[in-house]
This record gives sequence, C-alpha cells and structure tokens, in this order.
Amino acid sequence: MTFWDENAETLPRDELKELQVKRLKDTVARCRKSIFYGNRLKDVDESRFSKPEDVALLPFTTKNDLRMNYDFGLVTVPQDEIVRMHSSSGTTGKATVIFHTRGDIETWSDLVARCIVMTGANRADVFQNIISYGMFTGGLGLHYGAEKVGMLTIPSGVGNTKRQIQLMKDFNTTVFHATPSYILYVSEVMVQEGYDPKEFDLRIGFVGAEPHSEQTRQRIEDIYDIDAFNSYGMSELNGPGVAFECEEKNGMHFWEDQYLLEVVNPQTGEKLAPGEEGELVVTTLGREAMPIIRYRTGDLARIVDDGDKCACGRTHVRISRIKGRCDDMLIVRGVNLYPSQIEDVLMSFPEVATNYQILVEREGALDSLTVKVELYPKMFDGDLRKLKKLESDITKSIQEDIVVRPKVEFHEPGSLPRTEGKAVRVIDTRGEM
Amino acid sequence: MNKMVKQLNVFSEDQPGKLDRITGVLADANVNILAVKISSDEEYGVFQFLVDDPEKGFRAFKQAGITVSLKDVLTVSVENKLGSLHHMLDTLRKDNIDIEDCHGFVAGREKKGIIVLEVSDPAAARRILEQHGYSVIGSSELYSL
Repeated sequence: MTFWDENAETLPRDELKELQVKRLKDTVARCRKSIFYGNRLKDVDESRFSKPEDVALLPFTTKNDLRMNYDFGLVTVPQDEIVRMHSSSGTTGKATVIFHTRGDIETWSDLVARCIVMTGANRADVFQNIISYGMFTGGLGLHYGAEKVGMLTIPSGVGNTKRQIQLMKDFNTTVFHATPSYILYVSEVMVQEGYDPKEFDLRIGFVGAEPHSEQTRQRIEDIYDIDAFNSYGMSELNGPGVAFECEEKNGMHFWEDQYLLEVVNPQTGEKLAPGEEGELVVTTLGREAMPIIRYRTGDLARIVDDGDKCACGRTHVRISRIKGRCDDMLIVRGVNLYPSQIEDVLMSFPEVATNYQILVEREGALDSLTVKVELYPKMFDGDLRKLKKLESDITKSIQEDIVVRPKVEFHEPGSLPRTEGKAVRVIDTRGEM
Repeated sequence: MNKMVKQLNVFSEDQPGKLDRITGVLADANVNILAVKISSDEEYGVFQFLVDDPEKGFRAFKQAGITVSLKDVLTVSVENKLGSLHHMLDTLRKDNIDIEDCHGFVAGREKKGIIVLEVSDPAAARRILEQHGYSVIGSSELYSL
C-alpha cells in the first residue's frame, strides 16, 4: 500500500474531526476579510464551534452568490498574492471565477498527488492528460499533481484524436485522464485506424468531469483492458482532487482534512441521515485566496460508508458516484428521472455505441421522451428483425427503470453530435414554448 | 474454388438522399450491383446488396463510415417459369429449414431466375436443394452471369 501523505490520509477519525473544527474556525475568520462574507458572517461566533456539524450554523453559499460577487467579492487576500485564476466550465449558466494563492496551488497539487498515488500510479508512469487546459481546472489540476508525483506528463489536451493515439503509441503512455465520452470516442477511432485499444501500454485511466455510470466505467475498462478510477471535483472547490477512488473502487475518498462535507435535502437544505442521497454541500478548510463556506454543489450523491475504515487504510469518508445534478433532473410526465439512469441501461447493451442523446419534447399536452442511440458497427449483422427486437428490448429495459416509456431511435455511428469536452446529452425543448 | 456468395447488408437511417449516398459508394468503388432489396420502417432500414465484388464493397463502406455486415447467402438458380419459387420453398419447408430472408432477380442472357436466400442452416439447405436437383450456384458462377 502506498500513500502520498500517509499521515494525513490515514488520520484517525477523531483527530480528523478535531482538525476540521480548528480549520473551520480559521476559515470563518479568514472569510470575514472578503466583501461578501464580511457582511454575511457578522453575527456568527465561531469560537463556540466544537464539532464539524456546527458548520450548519453558517449560511449556504450558492453559485449565484459567486456570480453576483464577480469578480473579487469573495477574495480574502491582496491581489498581489494571487497567482492563478480559473473559471468554471459553465456547463450550466454563466461562468464564475476562482482565485488561488501560491499556497492554494501547492495544497491542491498535493491533493491531486494523493489521488494519483491512491490508484497505484507512480513516478515511473507516463501520463497523458487528455483533457481541456485553459481556464477549465481539469487540465492544469491533474497536470500539477502528476508533475508533483514525478510522472512524465504529456499535456496533450483534448481533440486531434489521431495525434492522441500516436502519442500513446510513441511514448508508451500508461496512464491517462479524460472524460468518459471522449475516451470512448478515442477507442472508436483506434479501431477505425486498425488498432486494438488493448494493444497500448495503458494500465490506468482517470475518468472525470462528467457524471458517468458504473456500466460506462466497466466498458472503458474492458475496451482498453485497464483499471479506470472515478474522479470528483469542481472549479469552485479547486477542481479535480476533491474526491477520488482508491484501488478498492468502492466509492471516492473525500479529502476531509481540506473539505468539510454535508449531504442535504436539495429542496429544504436540511441535513440528511447518513447514507441518504442528497446534494453535496462543501466548505473549504484550507483555502487562502477564496475560501467558500457551505457551497451548494448541485451534485447528488450519498455517503457510502460512515467512517468505516476502507481496506486501503484511508480514513476519509467515501461518496458514491454522482447520480446527477439537482438541475439536470428531468421531470417527464410527472416522473423524476436522471439521464444517468438511461445511460446505465444503454451501456448494458453491447449493440449500442457509446454516444447517445436524450430528447424531451412536448407533443400537445403530453411529454415525449426520445432516446437516440448510435449502433455499434461491430454488432450489426444486417438483420432488420434483430434491430426491431433490440429496439423493443431497450425500450422495455428503460421503461422498467424509469417508468416512462421512451421512443428508442437507432442512428448511424458518428451521426449524433459529439463534443470533445463535456457532452451535451440532454435536449429539452419544452421550455421554449 | 467456387465460394459461398456473400451479401452486403447496410444499416441506414431513413432520410432523403441516404440510398443515393450508399449506392454512390459502390459506384465510386467500381462495384456492380446485381440485385438490391430494401427493408425499412419509418426511421431506419437495412439495404441488402448482391454485388460482383462483396469484399471490395465491404471495404468501401467501412471506409465511408457506413455500418455494414457481410452475410453468407445461398443463391439458387431456378427456371424462370410459373411456380418454380413456390416449389423450391416448399422443398425447404418440408425439411424444416427456416428461411430468414429471401429475394430474387432475373439474370443473364438465358433469363434465369436467381433466388437469394438467408437460411438457418446453409449447409443443410444446400444439401437438400441439391438432392432435389436445384442448382446452388457459387460466387464465380454468379458473377459471370
């Protein structure tokens, strides 16, 4: 068992909680220096905090708060101490900006290094960072962590798929970081170019930036014959390195010495019982330039353990896969559903390729749900009746899972829109009426 | 060696211009179409092509990014007269051969009827047909019609 920072990663839970309380107090004190929190926290007396749960006495911070206080409203240090700016990917709504001191970059890189080493990767690996650089945190976040670990780091960014494959081949890449949709696309191009995705030296994949299902992970693992690890983070909380899977692959260790985690009911904001699924709310515990208190992430997940020691030896709590976002929940014919549920079903059919799209429309008074899927060319045997049967099998399986009966449409491989960053999987036209 | 005949089955969305694009690929690759069958519903369909060079057609489709499969079929030459298709199918039915797909065309100067069959058990079907005096023709014979 190897660790990047064994002491921090295996800290006994009572010491971890003690550390959280101390850092929470420091964070509140620091926050007061910002314009936004100075006002907000004036009635708070953090000196009375005695346990991590006392964080619930503080107000939430929302994405909208960050937007309204664009640009320096949450910053607690003079501008000359700031060395980096990042911006959220803006998957939903307007972008927000996040600032870092040199110390913040160090802390963040250390967390990412923990994640990397936790998967079994090490300084002997060749790491291809197949993800957007620039203001998106996925690129530089993993880059700094990988260099810290000492890996040969190839900042290949995203796109130019044939060159990505060439780099993997020429430099014997053993570890990559990518979004699930793009790395699956890369495998399709490999096949088109006459390669077997298994023939490369790849052994570990870091898969993140898009919520994805267990089925998708298994598919990536099977296609490349690698171990794939789920990653969680967001620019508001630095970026990647908030939580990551260890070799047990049973939930993502959430770095509690740097982040205080709550799981709340997304409607009421009330704390949920351990193990219940809800919205992740996170307070940064070590950030200097831009600490954030009780940030409403909008991400839905649950805690899979409650401090039971993981077989890997780490004491930090584990969270489930992100089931979806509060704001990407669809309500179709009165039924709540998440795109990830549909993805789960689709990925269990080998005949279906990796790209799909969910279309929600209103036909008269009724919502209609169309699931467009691309066929996987290798599985096509030219029989229309088999396609019809597959169509009805997929329809039934989705209906069993989400109650709503979808219309399943087959499309030619490569015909559905495909993005190299975050895939736009859901189109809901009902709001435009 | 007179090999088993192969048919190209192509998946296509049902949109204007799709068939045109598909036949264009064969034309550009210099592959001649002997017979075509289209099965489709509202959204998508399968085009089946019997061509003079299936391997070449297959590669051309792959290169064009078109979803295609190569399928073994039996091609049976029958007399171009009333009831001959019926008699042949009847023969197969009596021996419990499942017919999955069937189409036909008339070829050559002698205007022979050529029946293209996809069956559950091609080897058995071939034996039965030949026992009953039908001529199952192979690729070289078919392409020289």
